[in-house]
Amino acid sequence: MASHGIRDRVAIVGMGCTKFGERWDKSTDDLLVDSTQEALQSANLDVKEIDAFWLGTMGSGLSGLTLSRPLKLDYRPVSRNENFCATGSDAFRNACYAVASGAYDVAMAVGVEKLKDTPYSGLAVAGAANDGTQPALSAPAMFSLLVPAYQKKYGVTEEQMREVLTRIAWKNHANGARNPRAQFRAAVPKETIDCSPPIAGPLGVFDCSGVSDGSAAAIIVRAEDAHRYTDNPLYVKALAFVAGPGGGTLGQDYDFTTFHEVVRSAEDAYQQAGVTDPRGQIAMAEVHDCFTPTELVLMEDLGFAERGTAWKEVLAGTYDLEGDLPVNPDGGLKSFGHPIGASGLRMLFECWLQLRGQAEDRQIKTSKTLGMTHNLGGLPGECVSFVSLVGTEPSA
Amino acid sequence: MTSAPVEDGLFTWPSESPQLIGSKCGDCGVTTFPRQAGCPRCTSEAMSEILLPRRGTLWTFTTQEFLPKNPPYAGTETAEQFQPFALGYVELPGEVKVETRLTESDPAKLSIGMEMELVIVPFRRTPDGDDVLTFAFEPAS
Repeated sequence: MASHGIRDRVAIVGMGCTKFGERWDKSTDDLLVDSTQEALQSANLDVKEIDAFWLGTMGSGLSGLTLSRPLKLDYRPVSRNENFCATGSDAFRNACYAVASGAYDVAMAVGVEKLKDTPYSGLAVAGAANDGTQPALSAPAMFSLLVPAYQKKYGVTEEQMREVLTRIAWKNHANGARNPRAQFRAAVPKETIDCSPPIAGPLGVFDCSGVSDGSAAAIIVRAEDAHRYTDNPLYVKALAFVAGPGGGTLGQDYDFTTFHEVVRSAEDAYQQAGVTDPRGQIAMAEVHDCFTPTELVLMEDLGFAERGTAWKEVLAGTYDLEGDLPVNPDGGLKSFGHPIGASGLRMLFECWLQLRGQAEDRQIKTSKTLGMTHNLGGLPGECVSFVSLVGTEPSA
Repeated sequence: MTSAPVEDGLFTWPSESPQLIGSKCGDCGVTTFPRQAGCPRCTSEAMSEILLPRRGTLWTFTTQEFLPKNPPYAGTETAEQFQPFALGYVELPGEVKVETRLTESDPAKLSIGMEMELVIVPFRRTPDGDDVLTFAFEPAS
């Protein structure tokens, strides 16, 4: 398989991100206008100067018209992407390729989702009619299966696991409490997380991400043009995307302690960017903490911990805001909720702030220059996974 | 008042000793449940129908503590009537892991590896008062 990547060929020169939450005051159109206007202002650009657009949304509108109408675009190309929870990230990925190809000078990637104010207020979608032949394994139930599997494989007790999952939720809410754009802005005591109302298996309410509305946008140009728009661009180092074959429980090799898709996409991203020691080289990572055990497993799949050791690293504070490798410094899906199309670009927005020293009272202190965004869409055993790496320094 | 399976071809019925109906790939040997016309592992069309063993072991399980959204959930109870239930995978020896409801809803009474046996249970009632039947697994006696 060839995956050459486009390391340092394009750069991000402007970004915007709305406040996430139950935005009863804002329509999908309003959210799109707000995020794109902020991105344009940060790059000193007018919308007329954007050559092409990629819009990521799972359920908040079909076709490019969803973006061209509210922005009153002057007959510009707009693609509308969907790729489960990696929807916004896939819009970004395609916009980057369009610029790298030379087809356009300036492209915009936008993600949006309006989960409130719709008849179906949540993440689940009404897909093909269910005739009752499949039991109701909801998303939290499916991801809850990671917990006993991890415990059994690595000899972790139920009490230890509860402490680990609580620590992840506690960390992400503590980070989100420092973020004015987050849906939930309160630090949550560990005792509250420990005994939150049950949702599925060992997971309580505080082990699950919320449901919210939001939008985020990024402007991409050729790397050599970046300094025309900003003094401190972010260079795109790697864009990796994998859709798994969906083997799930058909085979004997899947044991619910890993996501094969994440491992493969991370390997591709590290190879594209020339990263050999992710734990040591990456300054911060925004990962897909849809449920607390997901974040635990991701630490191993992304190479941030040896197999079977991430639970100890979590307890040691490795991934805290002040730790060796801060994970979800903006508060993650735990604090932002998960407006599907917007989440990937929301993660990128935190890289934009952190790596450029603009994250204010949650600013990480580091001399490293690389940031990661990661999304996982689907279920353990059959999912898509996206990994990007961005950085402040072009390669020598 | 009658009762009928939720879907034809899911399990043998009526039967004193019902069995789930699966399929086996003649090329790669994988077993699926429910039965499929094409192999989801190797894409072969050499699938043949097989009856699956009635007993297996609990591979893993979880609980559903809130009423799932309808659709996709096909149950007809209200949030007030909803009773949390357990569900998981039962590994049928040498065949396939079946995603299934469990009759025992108290997780303290379930453990990975325990022997489980197939039962046919009412899933919901139609407006005419007919029972719709589906499969589940219960701890084997």
